[in-house]
Amino acid sequence: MIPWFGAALSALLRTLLVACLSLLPVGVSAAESVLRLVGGDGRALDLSLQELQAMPQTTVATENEFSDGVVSYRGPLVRDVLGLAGMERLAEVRFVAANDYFVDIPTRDFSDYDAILAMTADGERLSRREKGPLWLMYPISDHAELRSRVYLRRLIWQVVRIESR
Amino acid sequence: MTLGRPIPRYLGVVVLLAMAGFASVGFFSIRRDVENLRIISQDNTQWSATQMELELLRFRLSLADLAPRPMPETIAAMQERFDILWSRVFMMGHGRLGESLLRYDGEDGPVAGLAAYLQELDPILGDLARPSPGLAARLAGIEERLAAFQQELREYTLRVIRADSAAGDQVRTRIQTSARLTAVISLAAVLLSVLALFLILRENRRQREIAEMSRRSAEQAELASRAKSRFLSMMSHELRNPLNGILGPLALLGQSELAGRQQRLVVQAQQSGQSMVQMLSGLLDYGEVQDGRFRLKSEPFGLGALAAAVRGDLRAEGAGGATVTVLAGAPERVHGDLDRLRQIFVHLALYMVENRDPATATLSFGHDGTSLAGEIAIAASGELVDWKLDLLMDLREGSPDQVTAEALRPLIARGLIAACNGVLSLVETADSRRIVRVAVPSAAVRLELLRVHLETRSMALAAIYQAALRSDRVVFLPPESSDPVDIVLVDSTSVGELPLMARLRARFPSALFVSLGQPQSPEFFDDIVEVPNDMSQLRSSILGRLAS
Repeated sequence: MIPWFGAALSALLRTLLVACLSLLPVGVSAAESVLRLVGGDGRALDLSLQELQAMPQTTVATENEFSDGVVSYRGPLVRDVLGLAGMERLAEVRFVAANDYFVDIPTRDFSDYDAILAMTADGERLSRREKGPLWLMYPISDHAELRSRVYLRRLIWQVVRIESR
Repeated sequence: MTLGRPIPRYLGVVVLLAMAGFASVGFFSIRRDVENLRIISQDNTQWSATQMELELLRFRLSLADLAPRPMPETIAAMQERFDILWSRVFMMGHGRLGESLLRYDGEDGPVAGLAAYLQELDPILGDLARPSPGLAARLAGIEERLAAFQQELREYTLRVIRADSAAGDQVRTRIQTSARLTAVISLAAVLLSVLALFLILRENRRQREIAEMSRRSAEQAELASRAKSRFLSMMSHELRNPLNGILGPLALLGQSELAGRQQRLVVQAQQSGQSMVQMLSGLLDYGEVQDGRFRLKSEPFGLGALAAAVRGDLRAEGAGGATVTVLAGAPERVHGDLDRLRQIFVHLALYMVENRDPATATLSFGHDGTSLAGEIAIAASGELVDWKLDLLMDLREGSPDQVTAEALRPLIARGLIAACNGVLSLVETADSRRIVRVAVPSAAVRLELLRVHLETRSMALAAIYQAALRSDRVVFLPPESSDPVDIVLVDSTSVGELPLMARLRARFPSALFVSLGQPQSPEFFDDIVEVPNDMSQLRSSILGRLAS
């Protein structure tokens, strides 16, 4: 391999990495664990933003009670995230927020609807101040039945842990 | 009988519109209230206000932990609590929930004040993590400000709870009002429906009564009309007998030797008598048409015979100067009611030539393949002719004003034309002639040779029958002929039937068997001429086969 080509490639990759990391919210490093999955057997799996970002991403364009107009949220599907810890087979899981608020949600929701753990809104990374870094988002605008108080309560933000019930 | 006042149709439309209006008001009112209830039930304002208060308290606790031991964990915890509080406070004004929270806070409310203070704290938050001589005093100052916000947030939360409760009460009151309104509308709809039902039933009864009255009136009118027609027919019939009694002696008188003047008087009396017979016959038919007893015959007859009959009648009426012809190319024989057709054309022709030289009139008969067409042309013009034609064409059935002396013949003619399903029309001409055309549906007779075998022992009767039925299209085959036979005439009065009929049937299997006289075994025959010496009936029966 030509020496100058290898050096140039290395510099490019470093630049891309720095650019990616600069997109992350302030105070949260890409490698730092932002979500802990606690399966039925008690074993925990910590996931960083980098790992979550590496998963297939889905866009959900929807309205909700907390934002103005239709916002395009993007992040991994909840069923895929649960699948990392084998939790998609559970009947119900508990989502816990950074302020210890929690909500128990039947996993059937995640097979019926393309709910995501939103990491960006309209292309902007969700910081903790903007209900991030992870916000459980349902495609409310696509399903009229999701416009109810039950699902409003399930739009939990600042999610830090998902555990079995 | 009282029929009541008819209900105006617009009243029904007004009632329907009123009911639709009531229903729309009720529907939209309930829908609006249900939507409001849904929105209020979704509102999370109380929860959000309480959470804001709680997060402020947690941040204050994290600051309190920071003062004695500014460790990385306590610094990180303080930073995290600040961010969480920030996310709660800055929800204000965003989304429907944020709008609700802002509405309760007002312009200079505690949440807005707290938001401003958090923005003030944000840049100096890093300084609090570093130990410094005045840190404790700074933290105490911050705590004092935050404690004040805590109390204000408490009041804000209470305000939100009370306002939510008031809004809920308001919606509940509106729903109660809507429910009451709906009940009133439903009651009104029921009452209107009952009223509408009552009105419909009343209208229905009124219509039935009107229909019953109309039916009775029509029946009475029909009965009266029939009685008059029957009376007319009977009178016509009864008048013809004495008339025949007059005409017969007149004919005999006319054949005797009379002086010229007496002869002319006799002829004049005969013409008047014939005219009366014509009119009575027409009246008889007209009466039958009117009371539904008219029966149209359909028998084959020759157009020449029709022309001859019309010519004879016109001559008898003193209008012998009129020319009556059959157009070249017309079929020789057609189907129809000869007597009625003759009456139609005689009445029309006499009407047209009345007070006019009969020589100016021409009658021509033709056939266009489906209808017999007769045209009466008169070489005349002027107001009188036009008036007569207008009267003829404008006559309407059942209009008493038009039953005048002049209109009797046109009335009879038009009644008979209508009964024959015919059409009367005027033909446009370029010259001064006036032409009236009558077209009556009529099929041309298919002319074929009729082969007849006569079975009788009486030579005299055989001669009489052959003479009576003599025609170009009737051929009497010799008894021993082996040619095909169409009709077998059997003299039932002079032959033994049973063995004879068996033999004849075997010999002429496809022929039509007609009994002359009442047979002993009618089942052997296809037709029976009961009175064989009535030659006109026999001729009509046999010649009728030519058309079939």
